[in-house]
Amino acid sequence: MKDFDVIVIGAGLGGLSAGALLAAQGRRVLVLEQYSQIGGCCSSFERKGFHFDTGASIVEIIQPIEKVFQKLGTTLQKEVDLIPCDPVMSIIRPDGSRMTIPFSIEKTGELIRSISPEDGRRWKDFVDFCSEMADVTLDTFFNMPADSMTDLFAMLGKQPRMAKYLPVFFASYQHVLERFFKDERVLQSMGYQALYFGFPPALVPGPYAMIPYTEQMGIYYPRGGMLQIPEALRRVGERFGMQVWLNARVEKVTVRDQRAQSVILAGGSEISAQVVVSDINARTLYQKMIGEEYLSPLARRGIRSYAYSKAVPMLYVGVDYPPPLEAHHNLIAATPEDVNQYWWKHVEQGKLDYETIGLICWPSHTDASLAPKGNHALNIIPEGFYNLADGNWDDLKEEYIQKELDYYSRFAIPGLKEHVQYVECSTPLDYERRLCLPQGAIYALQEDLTALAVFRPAVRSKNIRGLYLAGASAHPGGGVPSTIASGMIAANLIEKYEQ
Amino acid sequence: MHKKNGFLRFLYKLILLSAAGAIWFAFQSESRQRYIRNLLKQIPDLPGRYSV
Repeated sequence: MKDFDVIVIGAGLGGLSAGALLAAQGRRVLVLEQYSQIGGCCSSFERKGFHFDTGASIVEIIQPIEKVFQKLGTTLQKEVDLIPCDPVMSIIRPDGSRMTIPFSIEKTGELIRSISPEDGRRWKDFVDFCSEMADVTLDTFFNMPADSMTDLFAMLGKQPRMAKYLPVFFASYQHVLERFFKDERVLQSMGYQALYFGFPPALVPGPYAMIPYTEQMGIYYPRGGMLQIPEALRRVGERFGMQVWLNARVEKVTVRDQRAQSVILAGGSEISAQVVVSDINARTLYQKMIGEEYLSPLARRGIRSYAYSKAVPMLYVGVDYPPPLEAHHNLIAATPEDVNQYWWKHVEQGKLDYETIGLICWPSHTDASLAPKGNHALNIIPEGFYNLADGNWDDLKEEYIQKELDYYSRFAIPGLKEHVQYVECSTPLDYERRLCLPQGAIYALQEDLTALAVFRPAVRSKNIRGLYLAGASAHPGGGVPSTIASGMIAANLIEKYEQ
Repeated sequence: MHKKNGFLRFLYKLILLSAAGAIWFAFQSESRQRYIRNLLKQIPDLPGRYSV
């Protein structure tokens, strides 16, 4: 008899949602996490009274998450206190002026109209276009497997309206937005979000251009920090008997007769299971933990062909004053073309730009308990990447922190540098070491059209029986709702195929 | 002879289709050209990715 019915490698959101759902099916589930804390990129930590989020800073598109908690016999609202973020975001322009986007489709339309009457008129068309596409996507893409062409036809069968949006996949994020909006000041509020998918707007598939609309469906922050979401999944899973072991690093997945048999931990102990669910990067899984020799020659070529997704550095800053910001999420204004130019000139060349686009999160604005009284916690994501043309992140770290604090003090958060009480930086190299994200890839693998759905590593492995994938490497991709949805899709497939 | 005509007809259609595609591509915006170029570049990887 096997030690467990299911072993889940990694206690990220995908692993925990799969684990909890499988435990709810009555299976004996063990989740193994190499780090001392659960959540992966969706986690929090405390330093000198300031609470910072490790990576993910908000949650939007909550429907897939609600669905997982419903399947677990509870509700998201009961398990996590989600605070709506209103305004949705503030855009900081180069001259320091701000444009604050309210949490209201109508008011956002009015704001756009005040900038450009023509774009204001098109906002309504954009909302109509996106609202139907969002309905279709939530019902199919976030809910169903996409391992094969049969799966894609099943999606089409469930939502024939999907066919109407197929041509959008052959246009870019930038192309779709520029079809609706012409004014540069309006586009400045929509360019940066393409990077949520790990690519510049010119390369992100068109359907993702609905982000400025889905932001209006609600942006939320969990009271107590982002860790509350994985904690809720763990808590509910444990009610069904799921076990989570921390500091348990899996070195190998053993395979016999093309079927996953067991995992071997760093200390050498072996734990067997009927089914193995991987919530780690698919390249690490297939190339290091299993070995390419178990893949077909074509699959071997396929796994090697994936590029890692983007990486980012993050500054965790505690300050002793209310920072002059206007929202939980604050973006440095950037049109889609500005973001492209940043990508071509810096990311692709490996040349750091200390004064460029970026995102400032202000969690203690939404939840004051995250910093000592009168103080505030900030997460600043100043953009960056893993491969540097000159030097390495360990040597550059201190200089990087100082240069970024100078830049943000001068332009986006006046007074910042004089009020810093605590500062720490996670470089892409730190993410790689701490969270086992190869090359610091926060979304695991590239997310362009050629690495999505049927072209992303299959949730139900096509090469090894009893092996399932969840997390950012698998369909539907990276991000909080997607990774939680991936766990649900994996659990559904295991229920269907592994009796 | 029949076989030779069939091949010529196929070649003719292929050339026409390629020319039409090239003209369509030339009239696309720069951002769309980049997007399509990125997809075309990865076509050889797709059978492998489908097998993973």
